[in-house]
Amino acid sequence: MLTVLTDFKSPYAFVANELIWALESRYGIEINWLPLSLNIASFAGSATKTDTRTQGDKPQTQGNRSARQWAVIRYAYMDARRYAENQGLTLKGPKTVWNSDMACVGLLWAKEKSESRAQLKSFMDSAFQRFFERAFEVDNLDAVRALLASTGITTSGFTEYAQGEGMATHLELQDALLDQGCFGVPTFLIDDEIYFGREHLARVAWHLEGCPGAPPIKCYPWLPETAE
Amino acid sequence: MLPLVAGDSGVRAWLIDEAVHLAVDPSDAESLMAVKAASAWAKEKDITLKIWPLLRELGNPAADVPIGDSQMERLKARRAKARAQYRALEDRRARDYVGLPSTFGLSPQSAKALAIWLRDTSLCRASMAGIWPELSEHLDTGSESIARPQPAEDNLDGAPSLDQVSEALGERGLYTTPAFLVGGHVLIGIGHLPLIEAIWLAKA
Repeated sequence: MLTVLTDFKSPYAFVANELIWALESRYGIEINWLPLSLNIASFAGSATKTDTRTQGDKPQTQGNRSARQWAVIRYAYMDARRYAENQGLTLKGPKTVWNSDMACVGLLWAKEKSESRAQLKSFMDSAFQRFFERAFEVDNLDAVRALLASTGITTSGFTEYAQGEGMATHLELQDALLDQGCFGVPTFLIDDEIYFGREHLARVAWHLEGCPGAPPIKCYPWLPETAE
Repeated sequence: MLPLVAGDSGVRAWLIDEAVHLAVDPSDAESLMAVKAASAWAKEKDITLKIWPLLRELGNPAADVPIGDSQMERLKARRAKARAQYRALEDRRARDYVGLPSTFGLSPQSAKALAIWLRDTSLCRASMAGIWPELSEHLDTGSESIARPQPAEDNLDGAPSLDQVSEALGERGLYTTPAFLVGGHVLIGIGHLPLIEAIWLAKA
């Protein structure tokens, strides 16, 4: 079984999403998607951008990030954006550090209630795309419920689930995943191996093919430019 | 051999757009994996490749997070442990790819000598495409794991110091290894070869 850990607020998980879903059709498998909610402030500091341009001032950024943390974050968004554009996706950097636990509970719910894989994929695609268009608040229960409804997934009982059993399950899962050595997204769990990062997609495919020959090296998939 | 320009102004002149530049830490298995993969790739694609030693690592930015409450500190410690375990796993995979034993390790002196070899070879040759077999001769894959770099084939008096090379790379946005510089684009990690090829072809 292939398990994939993801988080709707991660730009790298965003640009990996479609590529990972493609494994389902290519290999005739069902991926076990699990949410891993990154606590960004615990490893990259916190920052919030306040847009005051309407008053004639430059946008202000508040937080506790160091210069090297900013270097890493800026590179990450620049890097993810070029791969997003390669896939025709829009990736706007968030203006604050989000807690995505609620959206992660939404994923657990969607896994359980989706009537088809296409419906689950639709929810995940919408969550990623709308978050990176700054049109989806991943910490907002109402927003998650609305997104579920917009993709045709029942929301009957979701509020109670999100405020009770669902959130408890999600938080327990976070503990278990960290104990297992999982700390970032996307992470792939297959054949007792852990792979962090979409550069391992070829190696995951190699596992799905039965590990023939030498394992492939890391590779970020790049789609050939198509003529207009 | 490229025109020799003394000191740090020289290395800036050598970071030319007409090449793919790869910055590596010679003591790191992931960097050696990048050298092996990129040099084979460059040879196959007929791409000009320069490989430079970058001896200033960024370190772990997570260490800059201010001390928080006990719950946050526990989380940070657990995450750091998971990250360290994963890095060890990736290091093992890189060693397997390169063919290095699990005991491989370069002393600071050997790593510096290998860095000088890389710098001098990059300065002397138009391209380091296909360099891996030659470089791997300088790595003793036996239990002692000692690098044995050979003297540069040209007189490089006036070559930039390793610090000057690292500083010049840093000014171009290369702050960790392995990382590439091509056509003004910085790409961190060995996985970017398909994009680098696309950039290269677009420039051609």
